[in-house]
Amino acid sequence: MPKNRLITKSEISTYAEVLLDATQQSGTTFEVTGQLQDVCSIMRSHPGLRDNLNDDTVPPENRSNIVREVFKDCDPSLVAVMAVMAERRDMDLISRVAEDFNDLAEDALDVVFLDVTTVVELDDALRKKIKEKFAAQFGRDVMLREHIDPSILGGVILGAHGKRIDASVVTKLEDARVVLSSVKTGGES
Amino acid sequence: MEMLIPNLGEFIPTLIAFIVLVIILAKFGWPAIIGILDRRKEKIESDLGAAEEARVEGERTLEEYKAQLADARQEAATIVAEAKQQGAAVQADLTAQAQAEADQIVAKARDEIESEKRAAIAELQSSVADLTVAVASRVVGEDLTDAEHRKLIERCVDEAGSLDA
Repeated sequence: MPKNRLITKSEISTYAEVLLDATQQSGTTFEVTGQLQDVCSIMRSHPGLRDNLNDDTVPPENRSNIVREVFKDCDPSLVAVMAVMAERRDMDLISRVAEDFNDLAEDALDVVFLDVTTVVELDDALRKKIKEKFAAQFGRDVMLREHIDPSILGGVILGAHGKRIDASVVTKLEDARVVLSSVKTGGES
Repeated sequence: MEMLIPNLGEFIPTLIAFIVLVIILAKFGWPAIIGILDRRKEKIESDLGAAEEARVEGERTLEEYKAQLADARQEAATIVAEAKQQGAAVQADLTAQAQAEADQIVAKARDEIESEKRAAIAELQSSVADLTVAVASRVVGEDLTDAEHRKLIERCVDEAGSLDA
């Protein structure tokens, strides 16, 4: 039976708040925000896993064990919360829990989490430069969640609060390809 | 000489008979003959009048026929002229129609050629663009050092806009 939207929202908030409390005690709040992103990515790219965790014919304890096994490298607090979500067949809410948790964590730490995707690892000078630039924009300290992705070829992709600046080489090349493909040739008509 | 002098014994009865005959004829014969001649004359005059009327009627009819014939000839000439005109118009229409169809076929063929040309150019452009991007990707991916990558990141960060709404 479908859940009421308010109940669902309340559940999402509850999961996020419980997770925040747990990670604040262990001091892993920032790390867990990154791990939640990875979990969401895995859930999106593995429909079989998603289906199993949402399958009511699979016993709750089995769903919980699947989560504990698949995400065993994550923070224990996160694994525990996700295990409960799996028992209750709420793992399809994980991306919304991640968003709520991200917002709560930012407020709790009084920072902005900035996702930075590059081909090579940032050095300290670059980190400092990026933090300073965006701290000035947001009026808060900035914590970087760094991601290495060789497929972007070069440049950087920055994202925070649902907004994104894509200055990657792959995107610029794609833009160039579109322009080259659509440019009108001269000569006789 | 005696032969030339009539015998009065014969002459007088003959004369009397002649006079009687003249009187009888004057009395009974001449009027009948005159009447016959008058009637004959009237009939002839009547016939002549009828003939004249017939002649006049004939001439009038002839004139009418001539007029009708002239009208018919005029009408025939008009019909022939109209037929010629219509024929010329039909020919002109057919010629124009044929020309229009020919123009349409040529225009369609040109459009198709142009369309195929554009498609070929677009395909070529797309292929060139793909190839260019592939080469550029390979060059960038393989040839940039970490330091060059970081310089590129730094420049991108400098040029990046705002993330704050």
